[in-house]
Formats: sequence, structure tokens, C-alpha cells
Amino acid sequence: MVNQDVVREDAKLTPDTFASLLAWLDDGVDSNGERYLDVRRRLASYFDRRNRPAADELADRTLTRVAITLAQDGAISTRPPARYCFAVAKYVLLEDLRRDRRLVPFDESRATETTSVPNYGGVAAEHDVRERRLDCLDHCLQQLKAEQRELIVEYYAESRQMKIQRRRELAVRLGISMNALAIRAWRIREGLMACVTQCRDRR
Amino acid sequence: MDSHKPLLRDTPLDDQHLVRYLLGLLPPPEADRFDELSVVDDEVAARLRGVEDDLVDAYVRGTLAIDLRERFESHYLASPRRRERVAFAAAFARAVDQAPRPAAAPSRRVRWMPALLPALAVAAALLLVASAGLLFESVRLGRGLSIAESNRAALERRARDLAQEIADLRAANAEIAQQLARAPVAPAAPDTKTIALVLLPQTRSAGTIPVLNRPAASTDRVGFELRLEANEFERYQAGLRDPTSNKVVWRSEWVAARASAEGASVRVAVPHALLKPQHYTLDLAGRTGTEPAHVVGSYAFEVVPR
Repeated sequence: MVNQDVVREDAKLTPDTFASLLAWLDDGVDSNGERYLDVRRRLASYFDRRNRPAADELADRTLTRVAITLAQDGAISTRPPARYCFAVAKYVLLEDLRRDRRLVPFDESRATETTSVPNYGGVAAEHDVRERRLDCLDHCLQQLKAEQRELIVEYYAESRQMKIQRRRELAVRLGISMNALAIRAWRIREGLMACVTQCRDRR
Repeated sequence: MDSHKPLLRDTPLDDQHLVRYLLGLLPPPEADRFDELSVVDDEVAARLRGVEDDLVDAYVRGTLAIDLRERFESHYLASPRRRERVAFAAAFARAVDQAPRPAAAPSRRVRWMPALLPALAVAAALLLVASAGLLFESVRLGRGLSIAESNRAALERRARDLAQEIADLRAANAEIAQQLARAPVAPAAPDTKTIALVLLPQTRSAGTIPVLNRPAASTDRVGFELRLEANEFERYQAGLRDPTSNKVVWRSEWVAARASAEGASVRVAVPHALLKPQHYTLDLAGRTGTEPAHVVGSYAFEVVPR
């Protein structure tokens, strides 16, 4: 289904190929681009769990290649579409690993065992970063609707053993399933995190 | 999307298993399969992100079991992207935990005033929304429905708390910065009074590796003093790494640095039985409050027979 000739091509997406990609990922159910964002996020997380530093870039590269294949072949029969994306992602990962080895030989197993290296003398800078993050969190929380704030407070508040029971009661109160509640809470949290990131980068 | 169901069916999907996947504790074939499921399978993807958020929240709240916490720090925090996630979670969890929990819908019935029931229901719903809104606004409830009246004191108290929330967070942040500047000093641990070896921070140039003459077998623990370039954290933890296996074979408790004329240092006592004649490194991590741990430095030494 996927071959290396296909995945080695790099090209820019045109609006038409991008639109075709969105439609193909939707697989018959119009999601207004949500499905694309979801698959892209999953791919980026996959690359990140494989300790690739440019996880977002690799996710974009994967989807670009899928889009180009789609444009060239007219159709991709693999279902679900995310399965084909994952197959391409594996090639992209291998390429990235090979590129890394060519450029900087290093002991990867050791690298994955280390945590962040502190920036000596950077305490003030870290303090500023935390301050900006709090400012942005303040700003972004205020953008939420009251019911969204209520939901995340209820869903994410600490209570250890009571957590599952509390979430179950919240789901009952809202008249939705636990899965739907989890998705709703996660979307609010992700939106908040994206808002904080954008806000912080702007300042 | 039935085509991926067989993959899912033969794969355990409990939260603990997903945590093990996120912490890189699954054997490679299983981890590979979860890699695929995490992209292809909607259910696994959704479960995974929920479990990941709960895992990160548990870490920033300090409620993670010790073994998972250590693994979290050595594996999960290896990625800048995930560290960013943890940094956000630290602020987010604090905001959520300090926020008042929304009041539950009142169940009290006013049987003697059935005509008022719809109005009371509306009031109850308004209260729910208002209490959530109190996260960042002072809300005054001055109207006289009996339900609102009974909740007023609690809501006003929450309102005061909430109005201060961001200010409190900032104050805590400033306090952390001050603590770093003050460089708190802890008394020496009883078992680190006798220091067998003082290790200096490694510089970029490779120098001579300090040598430790292996103490007599009667010694229970061997004391090390790890000098710091800068005392930037409240507490420190040393891990003894065996370079032959690249595994951390022992970790100290989290301890505060000590001040001396030579500067700040961390003292740890390594079990004698672990030290064989070979090279080792003591990897030092630092943390402040519930912030994620950071690698401070690595101290190499060699154990030689007496």
C-alpha cells in the first residue's frame, strides 16, 4: 500500500490537494476539518513518543505525502484513512532517524533517559515564563463560557478515589456518556492549552 | 470502522496498561501495536489522551506512586513537547484545585409552593452557572429566592477566593523565585557525616576522574558531597548510574543543599554494597515544589579496590 518512492517525495500542498485530503480523512462524514486536526495531533504525539524533536513537522510531512499520493492516484483504498496515515508515518519516522544519525551521531538510548538540562543563571527567565503562562491562563480562562469552566473544574479537580464517581455523576447530570464527557473535557483543556501557547508566543 | 477491531480485542486496554505505554514500559512489540492503535483507533486515541492528562495531573500534584514518578521523570519528561504539557498542567491543576467546586443542583422541594417550582429550578440552574463563573469574577447574589439565600454565604466566600486566585498564583510564583535566591540549607543527614569523596561539577573539558578507594566492607554507606555550580532548586536527588548497563541502580531521597565556605553542595550516602571497582556517575536532579525535576549535572568517579 505504501512504498518508499511515494513517501520520499516532498512537495507543497495546493488548496485542491488539501481539500481532497480533508474529504478523504472525513471518510464520508463532514467534520469541518476536525478529523484532519485529530489525525495530525495523533501523528504528532506518535512522533513525540518516539522522541523525535520535530514531531509537529513530521506530522505535517506525513499528511503532505498522503495528500500528494491521493492527488496522484485519485484514491486510496485503505480504511480507515488513519491506518494509511500511520503506515506513511512509519516511513517518515525511519527517514528522520536516519537523517539524525547522519547529522549527529549520538547514543539515543542515553538521550531518551535524560530530562531537561537546566539553564544556569536562567532562573529569572524561567520565572518570567511562568508569569507569562499565568497571565495567559488567566486570559484564556476568561474566554471560556461559564459552563465550560464548571465542567473542567468538576472534571479535573483533585479528589483521588472519588474521581471516577465524580465524573460519573457529572456525566449523569449533563445527560451524556462518560466517553462523551471525557472528550468534551479534553477538548476544553486542549483548547485552553493551545490558547495559552498562542498567547505566550505573542507576548 | 470495524477493520481495526481485531487489533483492539487482543490488546489490554485498562488505564494501567496505557500508563505503562506512555511511560515506555511496554515490551517493544506491544508498544509498536499501541503506536498504531494510538493513531488508527478512535477509542484507544481517546482513552490514551484522557489517561495521559490524568497521569500528568497526578505528577504535578505529587500523587504519583514513587516508581511511576521516577519513570515519569526519566522517560516522559525527556521530550520538550511533553515538558510543555507538564508545565501547563502545573498551572492548570492549581487553578482548578483552588477554584470552588460548582454547587450541586439543590434537591430541596418546596411542596407548599408548587407554583414557584419552575422559578426555583431556573434559580438553581443559574446558581450552577454562576458558581462556575466565579472562577475569575466576583459574583454577588442579592436576590431573595430562598435557595439563593441559603447558598449566599458559601458563594460569597468562594467569590473572595476566586477574586484572589490569580494573585495568589503570582504570589506563589514570586515566593518560589525568592526561595531560590535564599538558597535554603538543610541540616546534614545523619548518615552523611563522613564524606568519602567530594565531587565537583563536571566541566566541558574532560579532566581526571576522581577515584574512591573502596571503603572497608564494615562500612554500611559511603558519603558523597556533590558541589553545585548554583543552588537553584529547593531539593535534590542523586541517582547512581552504572555506565556498563546505563541503568540507575540507586536513588537518594530528595534533600536540600547545604551551604559551606566552598559553596552549596548536596550530601548523599550510597549503600556500600552497590559500589564495585568500576566507573560510576551520580546524576543529580533538582526540583522546586511540584515543578518537574531538572537534571542538574552528572558527577563521574571511579571505585578502585583498597
